[in-house]
Amino acid sequence: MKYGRVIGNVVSTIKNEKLKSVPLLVVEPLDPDGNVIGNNEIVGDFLGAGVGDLIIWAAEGDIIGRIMGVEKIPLRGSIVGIIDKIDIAGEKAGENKVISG
Amino acid sequence: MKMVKVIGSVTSTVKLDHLSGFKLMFVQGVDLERKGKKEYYIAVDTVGIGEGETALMVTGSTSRQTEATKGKNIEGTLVAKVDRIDLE
Repeated sequence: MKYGRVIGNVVSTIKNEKLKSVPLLVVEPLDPDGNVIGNNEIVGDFLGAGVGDLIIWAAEGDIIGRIMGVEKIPLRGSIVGIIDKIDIAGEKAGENKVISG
Repeated sequence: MKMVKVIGSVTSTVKLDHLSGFKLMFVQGVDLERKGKKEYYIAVDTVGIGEGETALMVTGSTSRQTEATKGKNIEGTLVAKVDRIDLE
């Protein structure tokens, strides 16, 4: 799964029936220092994440339908967790870092 | 499979319930000399990998090919601890 931040959301009124109830958020992958290290992606959100939230997202597709009890949902990529904090062990002692959500 | 080093752990209370019960490890892709690459993932550990240790991570649907992660929306499972790499 990837670590990143929610930077926006996609407004779409005409969309596949199954997606009607799923907010579509724009997320970008980050490194521990907060730099963007890849392309942004559009993912579904089932947790109520908001812009600015640090999140965990999975690129998986079909599994979400099974889990959410919605078969055949055309959605690839979903937010699976909103991050409270990440504890990073520093190379040397005393260099530990905490990234808070 | 990707070789990664465990560099931290992630705390997330609001998450999909099938993720609960797993320790979320913050890992960095490493090369053969275990030098860090600009690749970071959040993975689930199923074999007891400790912080600072190097492991093999499977991604995609393979991530669910373990007893612990079967049927769960998990992407990135640590499946082996790397003791040593012998190169000719």
